[in-house]
Amino acid sequence: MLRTLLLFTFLLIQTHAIGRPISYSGGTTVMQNNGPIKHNIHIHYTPHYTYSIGYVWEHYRNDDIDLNGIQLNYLIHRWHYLHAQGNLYFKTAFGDAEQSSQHDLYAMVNLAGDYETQRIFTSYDAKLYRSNGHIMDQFQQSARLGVAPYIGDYGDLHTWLMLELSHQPNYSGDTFILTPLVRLFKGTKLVEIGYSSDHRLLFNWVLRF
Amino acid sequence: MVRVLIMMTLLMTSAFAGAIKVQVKGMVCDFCASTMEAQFKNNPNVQSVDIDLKGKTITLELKPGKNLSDKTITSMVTNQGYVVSKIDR
Repeated sequence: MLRTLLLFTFLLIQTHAIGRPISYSGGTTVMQNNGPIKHNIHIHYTPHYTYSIGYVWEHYRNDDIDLNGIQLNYLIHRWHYLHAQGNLYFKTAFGDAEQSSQHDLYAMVNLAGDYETQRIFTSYDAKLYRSNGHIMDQFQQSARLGVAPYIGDYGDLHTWLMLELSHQPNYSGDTFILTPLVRLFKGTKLVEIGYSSDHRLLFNWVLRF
Repeated sequence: MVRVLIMMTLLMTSAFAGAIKVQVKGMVCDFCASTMEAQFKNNPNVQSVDIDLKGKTITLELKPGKNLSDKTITSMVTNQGYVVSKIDR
């Protein structure tokens, strides 16, 4: 009972403190990432452009770890320029971590930032995972640099050529992974396809409605 | 007198029927633009919305006899996390 109350209190605190404007107020987003080290699905609802809340599932292929959690995303600050936008987000998730039928309670904190114009895109993302056992104790960070070979208008197919460098010192595979990728973006639909330095296919997609 | 009345009528008509151009800071992608489009399309006074992503401009055509104040437009943009740079009528 005490554990449930603590969890509920934590959830309430986080609900007030966390958020993310990935969608417009009232919008729902489904995003799936299939990267070099993990699969990830995040479905979230945005009550206000400064925060969103949703469900997150992650599966780590090498270590066969599954995470099921609630994720809260919060926009710390947005920089507005006429031809550019910068964002700083804080994200957190917590829930169940499972490996070989063993279960831990896990938590994740994430600081992420991006800066983009219609021509260039840069981002940095740092995640820290901790669990009350030994299943999920990881640090992950990644950075991206992208260039748009042409500038499209609203409704056009936008194309980005990107390079992602990820670093995961606690991972059982390659700790540094480089992934060249192509991002295709039209309206509210986004798809990314790439191939990593550890010979894995990257396939990500985002859908807003 | 008749001439003055005609001129006044013409001026009033153009003030309500003309397009409003709203320049928005940070509208750099289709996600941002679709957010703005949905926001203005849902307003009962708006007839049509046209987005110029390269110019960071939203062109609003209002329904006959309807108006949308600068304050309302600014509020609609701000409520979605963006900033108005200028409004031309």
